[in-house]
Amino acid sequence: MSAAREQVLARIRAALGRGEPDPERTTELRERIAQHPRHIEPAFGETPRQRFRQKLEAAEASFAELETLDAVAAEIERYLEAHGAEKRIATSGDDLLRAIEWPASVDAQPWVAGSDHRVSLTTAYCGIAETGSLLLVSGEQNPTCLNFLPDYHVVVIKAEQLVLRMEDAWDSLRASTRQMPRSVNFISGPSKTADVEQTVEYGAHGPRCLHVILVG
Amino acid sequence: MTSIETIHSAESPHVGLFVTCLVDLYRPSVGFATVELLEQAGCRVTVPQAQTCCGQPAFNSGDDHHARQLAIQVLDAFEEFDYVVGPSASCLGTIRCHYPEMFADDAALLPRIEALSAKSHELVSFLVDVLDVETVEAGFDHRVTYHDSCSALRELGIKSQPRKLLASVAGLELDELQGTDICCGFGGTFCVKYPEISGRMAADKINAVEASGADTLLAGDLGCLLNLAGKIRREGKSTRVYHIAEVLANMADGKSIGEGDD
Amino acid sequence: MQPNSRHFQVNAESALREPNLQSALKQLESGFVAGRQRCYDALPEFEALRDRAKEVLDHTLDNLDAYLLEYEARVLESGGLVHWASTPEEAREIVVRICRDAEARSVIRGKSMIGEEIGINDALEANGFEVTETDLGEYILQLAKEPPSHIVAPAIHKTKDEISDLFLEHHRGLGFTQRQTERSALVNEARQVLREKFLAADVGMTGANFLIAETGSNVIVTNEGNGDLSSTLPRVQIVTAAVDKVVPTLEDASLLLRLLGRSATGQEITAYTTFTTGPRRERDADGPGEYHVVLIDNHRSEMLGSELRPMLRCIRCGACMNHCPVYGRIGGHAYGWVYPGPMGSVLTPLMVGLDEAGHLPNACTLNGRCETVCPVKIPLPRLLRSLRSRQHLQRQNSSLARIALSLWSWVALRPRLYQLLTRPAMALLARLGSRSGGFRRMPLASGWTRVRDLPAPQGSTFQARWQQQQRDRK
Repeated sequence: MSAAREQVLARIRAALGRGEPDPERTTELRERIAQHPRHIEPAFGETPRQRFRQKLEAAEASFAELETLDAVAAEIERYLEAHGAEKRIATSGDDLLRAIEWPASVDAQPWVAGSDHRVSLTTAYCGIAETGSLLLVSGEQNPTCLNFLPDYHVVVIKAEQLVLRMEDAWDSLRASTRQMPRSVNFISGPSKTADVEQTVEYGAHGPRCLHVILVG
Repeated sequence: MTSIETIHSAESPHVGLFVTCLVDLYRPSVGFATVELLEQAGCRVTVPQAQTCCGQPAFNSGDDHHARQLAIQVLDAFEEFDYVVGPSASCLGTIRCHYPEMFADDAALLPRIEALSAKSHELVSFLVDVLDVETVEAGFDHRVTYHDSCSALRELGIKSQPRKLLASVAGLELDELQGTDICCGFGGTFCVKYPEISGRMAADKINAVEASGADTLLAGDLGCLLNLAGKIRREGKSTRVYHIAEVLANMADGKSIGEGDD
Repeated sequence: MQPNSRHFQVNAESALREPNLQSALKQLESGFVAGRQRCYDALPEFEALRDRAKEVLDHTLDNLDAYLLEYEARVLESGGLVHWASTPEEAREIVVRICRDAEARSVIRGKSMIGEEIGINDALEANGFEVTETDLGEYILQLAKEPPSHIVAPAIHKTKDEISDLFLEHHRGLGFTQRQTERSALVNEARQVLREKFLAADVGMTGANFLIAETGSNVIVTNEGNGDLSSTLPRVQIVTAAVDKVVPTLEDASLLLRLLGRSATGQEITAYTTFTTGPRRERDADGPGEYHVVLIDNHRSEMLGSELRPMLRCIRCGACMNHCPVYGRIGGHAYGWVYPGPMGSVLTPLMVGLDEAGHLPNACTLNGRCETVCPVKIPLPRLLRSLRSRQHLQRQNSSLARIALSLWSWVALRPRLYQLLTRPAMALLARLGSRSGGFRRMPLASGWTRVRDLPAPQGSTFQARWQQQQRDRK
């Protein structure tokens, strides 16, 4: 290991007035990590569904609620027409989206590297009610760039995927995967910036528009 | 409820008046107003002669040695009283909040210092919080605005107390300042080390005073008051400036701070 | 960047005379400050969150070596590499070496203050790499060749007009020949220019808001999405982070995230909060093939061992400067280095030296507003005061102030002498000033009278009058 590593650690230990971590302290700290205690979790009065929608809309995301998946294709076509966007969509590879039956007027294709689509369609791992956030994770079927490169990002999420807080998402992730996915993105609205005269403008680098379709 | 006419009893609290160096030198009338208010509230007031400065200028300038020496001087002069009270949140905040910090490593003195701190109070909060005074017998036919000093707001948690007593002053109308939690730019030695920044802060504050519509500015700290009265004079504004104790004690009939004969 | 804190006074005075800067700073109260207050009022748990955050960070700092080792082990497990640097020079060398080994040509950067702290852009450019800042504010400053003036809103001092000019000058060659004057058009133009940079870049650099010991993740928080593009598109990702960024678990990070956006910009959460762990996995659809973390000390271990340790809790929200009445008058550049405002007035002297940055701890009224809004309860006034003590002990403060204050203390420690001297002095001042009520000029008090009058005192001192009264009563 590098000399700098040993020097930095030695200085930190000197500052703390102790030597290398003894087994007891290491065990204690690993225990804390393993138990990952939750902290104060702010209460809210709304239902998770209300809260999720309110927070996303407050962040200038648009929102649709559908009863069944059958209606998703029509909703997306409506949305793209309303925005005058082209009906050429790059989708993530989730089964949920593969099952959609598209009308001939919409060209929806799974994403391939280098594609320049202006509209993306993805699912989410879950939705966080407290903050109105979509949690998207990277993987074989889920390129992260779909969340950031297009102008329009449409996300389909099922009502049963809503959780209360970020901490619930962590528990769920821990239960479902051995290791953190490479990218874990909490998305809470379209891209924005206030770097010009402290005034908010949308569509800085990421999607100009975020459309959330809640199904069920 | 105790009104200010509480009759002195045999057990009336014995208060050591820490008059503060600024009041001593600049505005003795604030000292007399303080005595008046304390006596009206039923206190027995003594003014120890061996008092000068609380040590805050030294403390804030990093001169911990002199700050501690001055703190010990205050301790010796005041620890015999039931309470230490003074017309300044800045100085009493130093005694209450910072003396224990200064002696944190001095096991011998710390208990005495902590006892002193615990019984030291800024005047208005002492009247309201400790003596339960709710009203004063005073009249002041003016629209006033009140400047909260930073040490009052943030070190001692004083915000409602002065407003409560001002509400009982006959004829007085209180117009709140915009940005009342923002410093006036005094800051002890800051105001002479960085006059341009300090001056801008004071200018912004007196603009807010003017915008409030009040004709009189009150505050509980003479440092802020001298800074603002000086800026008001420099800018040729007409707002009159008094320490709150002068109004509460019905003694604001003399010249305001920085007011001349002309 | 080369520190220029020595000239604080001159810098500040010229900042006071810059109308554009002054109007930008005036917006702070109605923008960030009011936004934070709205969040505060809407969240009854805010104070409890602050207390817990302080506890968690104190616990982490108290075990910093062990948590760094846990973090390092998890990064290695995820296929990333961890490099350690004691100094900015070492950190720069590591980053340059990684870029060189990757045969990179262009580097894009997501906004990070540690990148400014170690001066990474100059080092990369000096070694022949093309560097592009992608945070809009940082990009504007890169074009203007200026340092940031705020840690969250780096180009807060720039007006729309100045940005229009900058873009026209620098984008003309890229085919953008029209001078844009609408905010949305400016943002859109930058989006297009920078999109090409993103797609062409070999290396993406980001900072880290937090590092997670549990998972080996780095966390970045943005509204623009530039940090995400920087950590997704290029084939190499480099994270530069200070050693004090580590927290134990995802839950600990979640706690701090509840405070960060609210305290910084008055947002409950930013548009993007991203946890990145290692390079792309074998079957991942995208992501960089290499993932490097550069862990940087740069005097933090020194702070850890001193009374300034609480400063290491800082999560870089900028609330202290947003609420600072001095920052609010002079802006960030006057402070002369990377970190401005109250947090900068503590950090800068430690990182560039108290002799260079001696003004900063003193250019503060100790009004305490910063401490009351700090999400992790850093006692900033106390830390600034303790730097003043260091200056006093090292005799680094101005000798005139030292002499004046020592003289005052010497007299104040002798109450009889104090009374003997002050009585005639105040009586004289009162007599001289009684007609006009104050003085426009006063020898030895020019600092005071330069910007305000000195009100005249009432006459004899309180003590003198009181003693007289007591004698009369008897």
